[in-house]
Amino acid sequence: MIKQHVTENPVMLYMKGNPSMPQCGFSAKIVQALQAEGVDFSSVNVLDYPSIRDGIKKYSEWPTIPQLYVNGEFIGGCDIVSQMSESGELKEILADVVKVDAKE
Amino acid sequence: MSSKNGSAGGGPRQNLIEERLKDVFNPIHLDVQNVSHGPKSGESHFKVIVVSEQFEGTRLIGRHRAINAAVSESDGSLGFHSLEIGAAKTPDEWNINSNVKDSPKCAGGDGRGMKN
Repeated sequence: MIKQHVTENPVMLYMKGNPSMPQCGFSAKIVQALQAEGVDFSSVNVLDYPSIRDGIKKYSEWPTIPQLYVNGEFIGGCDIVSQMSESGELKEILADVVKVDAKE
Repeated sequence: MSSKNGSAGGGPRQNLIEERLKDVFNPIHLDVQNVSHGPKSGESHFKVIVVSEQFEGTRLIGRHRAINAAVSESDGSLGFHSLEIGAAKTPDEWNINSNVKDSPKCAGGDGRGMKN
């Protein structure tokens, strides 16, 4: 199910809470980084789905939430995405998503 | 080797994290901070800064994965709530920029701390 999620949604965020009401400061920060890029993204509130909360950690072999996926690829957690946001890398990755969308 | 919050006074979890990171990365700079909210003795939240030559030629995600793996239990779980990697840099990168951003508040994961 997770594999389907991350491939069907080009920008997929697993977080605690939802984008308008994050339940964790790290989730809130990653939402801000995505919103600053002006990109549409899908999200799952792992607090509502304990099986996804566990499953996503095994899927990515990454021990913490939040987790960001772009085009099915695991990008990182809050620390990595924040640094990529500052360096401009996040913009580059998300620009690819926009191109993919335009092709469809 | 420098360590702001050295082993002295750290709890068993903090000491274990420091030992594991030292073993794996032989860092020129290591900082393991107990940032647990609630009682520090809970040792639930940690922030680490690791500067090591071993990060040379590795992308950020690879560095974070290596740190996660070094700190995690054998089943791949952390064994505590949250690990923040404030910086994972090579000595050269650290010399250029040793700023580490302040952490957001975890807020407990149930929003306890997010409300004004």
